[in-house]
Amino acid sequence: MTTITAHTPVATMTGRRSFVRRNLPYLLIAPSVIMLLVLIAYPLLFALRSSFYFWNLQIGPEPQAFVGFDNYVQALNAFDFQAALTNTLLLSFVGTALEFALGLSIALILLRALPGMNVVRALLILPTTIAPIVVGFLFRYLYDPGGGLLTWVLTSIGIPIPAVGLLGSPSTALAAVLFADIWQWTPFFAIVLYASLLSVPEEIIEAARLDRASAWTILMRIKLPLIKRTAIIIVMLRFMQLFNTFDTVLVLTRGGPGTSTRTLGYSLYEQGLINFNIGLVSAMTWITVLIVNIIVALYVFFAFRNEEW
Amino acid sequence: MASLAFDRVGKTYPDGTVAVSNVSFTIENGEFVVLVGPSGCGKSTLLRMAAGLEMLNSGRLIMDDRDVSHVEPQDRDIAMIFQNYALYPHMTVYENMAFGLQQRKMPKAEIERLVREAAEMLDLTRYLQRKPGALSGGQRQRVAMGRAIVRHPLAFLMDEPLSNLDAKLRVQMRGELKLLNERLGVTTLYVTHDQVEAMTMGDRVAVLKPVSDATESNLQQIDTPQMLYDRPANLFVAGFIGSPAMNFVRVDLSSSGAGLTATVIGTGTQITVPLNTALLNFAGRQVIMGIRPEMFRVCTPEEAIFNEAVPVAEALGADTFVFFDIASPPVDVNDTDEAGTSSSKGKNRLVARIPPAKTPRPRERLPLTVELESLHWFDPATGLAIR
Repeated sequence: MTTITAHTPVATMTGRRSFVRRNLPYLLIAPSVIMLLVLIAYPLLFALRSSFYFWNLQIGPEPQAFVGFDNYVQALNAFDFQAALTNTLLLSFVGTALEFALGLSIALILLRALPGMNVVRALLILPTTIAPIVVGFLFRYLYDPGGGLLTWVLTSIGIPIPAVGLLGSPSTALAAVLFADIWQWTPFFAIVLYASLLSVPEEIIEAARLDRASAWTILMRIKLPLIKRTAIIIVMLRFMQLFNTFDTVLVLTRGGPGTSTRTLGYSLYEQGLINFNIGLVSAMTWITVLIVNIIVALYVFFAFRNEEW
Repeated sequence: MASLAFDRVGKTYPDGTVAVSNVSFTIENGEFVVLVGPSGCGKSTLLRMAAGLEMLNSGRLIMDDRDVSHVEPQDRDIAMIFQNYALYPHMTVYENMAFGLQQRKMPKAEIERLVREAAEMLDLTRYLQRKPGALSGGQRQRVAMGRAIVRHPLAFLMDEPLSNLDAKLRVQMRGELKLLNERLGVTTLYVTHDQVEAMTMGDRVAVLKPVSDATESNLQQIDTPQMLYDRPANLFVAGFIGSPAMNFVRVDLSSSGAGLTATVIGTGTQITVPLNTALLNFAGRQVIMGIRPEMFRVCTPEEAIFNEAVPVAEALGADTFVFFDIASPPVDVNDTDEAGTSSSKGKNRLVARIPPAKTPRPRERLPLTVELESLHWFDPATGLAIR
């Protein structure tokens, strides 16, 4: 009989090395956790504290007075809050819905192997790669009442344009802002949905055809449910982005005319970076954060309720 | 139920590749026909044509008396079972089976009755609320079957439905499928590359071969499994049906008084052949002789037709396959030589099935004779059987 003796390597290992080995997962994830804390948690908490103070940077660098919930009361009663909230909700819901529907239609067309589709696919990604500020400028020229391309096209096909231009009239300005966003972000939906539709096995579609399903039924009961997870996530992402719309509004309308295109994001910018009203803008930030989180939480709850992950 | 007729059906892809050409045969009402052949022989394409998933460029496809060549799959009332089952992954077993019925606006209670009936038949009742992801391969296979049978379609199309199962389950499902087909009596077209599956399941088996141009036909022979084995129409079918495959040997035929003598090219071995009128016409020419591995008999060295060393022996338990080489040119079943002759050089490896007790020791010679009545003869110029 032979006895095998095992020498435990632990004894010979340096203390430092075993520490690294034991805590490797935590060490690897630590940088992202630290980044999150520094870049998100700290500013949010800082804003929470500031929201209880009267603090205007034009008066002095330190908070001027503790005011309790006054900033919140003031924010909710501000002349533009109602309008900004309505506009923001309109932009987010209508924008996300239209971009999803249009993007899905384009994705379904892309799936058909028509000639020239490769070029179309490549071109489609372009709008998404442009900075929103640049898109804003682009559309300002397109909408220009004096000689903008869109103004000219609409007038020539007989659609009346307000004399002050699409961006100058309160009745069309928000739609014009929305249109610029749709132009930029529909391709994003198209590309992502196209990619996920590609992953639906052809055999399953064929099986459905043999089961006598119409093209519409196949889309609603086979294709969409199979890409549901991707769709849920991009809709959520896009909704949150739209809720924070600010840069296109800044370039196109500065929230005007009146408050017709004012968004919560633009109001935040105005209070914080024009009026330097740090206390008030902190309260507004928290209100916005709460609203968007409640909506997203409800959405996530209902969307993922029946999903097995 | 319906009959399904392929009438000179052909399919050429835009790049000029000929997938299918000149295929004509009819599946009778309630018949189980198997398409078998090596990869690229067009068997799956033919099946997909029957489904309407692949369009034909030439010929017609007739269901009963209706020309369905260009009818959409939705309007054919055919059910198909796919190789990977193609179950709807987001639906439960019940929903998978009910989906086709829902498309026909059938009342809910009727759907429920049909699905439960099919689930009962396939032993799936316990799994109705599960999703396909939570089922084993065999169970998924049965759900795919269930989805097809609840609809009571005019015909079943099956595309290698057993190829994703392990060997044991495959044998079991083979039996179940055959039984189910007999019970339901639905016209079935079944595709496989496995000849055992083809032979055991088909009422008739169609042997297909890849084609290179549109003048040929993929269809080599369609017949009952036994007829394919006993009377293969040509070299390709003879070489394809049977496992291990038939041995082919080139011989010179000469008439010798009362009968015919076949002289093996290369070795000069002489075999006296029983008289056969069709074969008489080939006297004085070279022909190909086909010997099934099971037609060899171990004998004394004096009686032996072949007496060679055996480099490889495969013991399977009940039988042993012995492989040996003769100094004779090999025969390629896919390449019939127009001239009818070839060089006498080369090595031809033959295989014989013998009882395990007769297995020779390594390097020992094994004397073998052949049952002369069961030899097959082929014309080397055309590859066709001589009969």
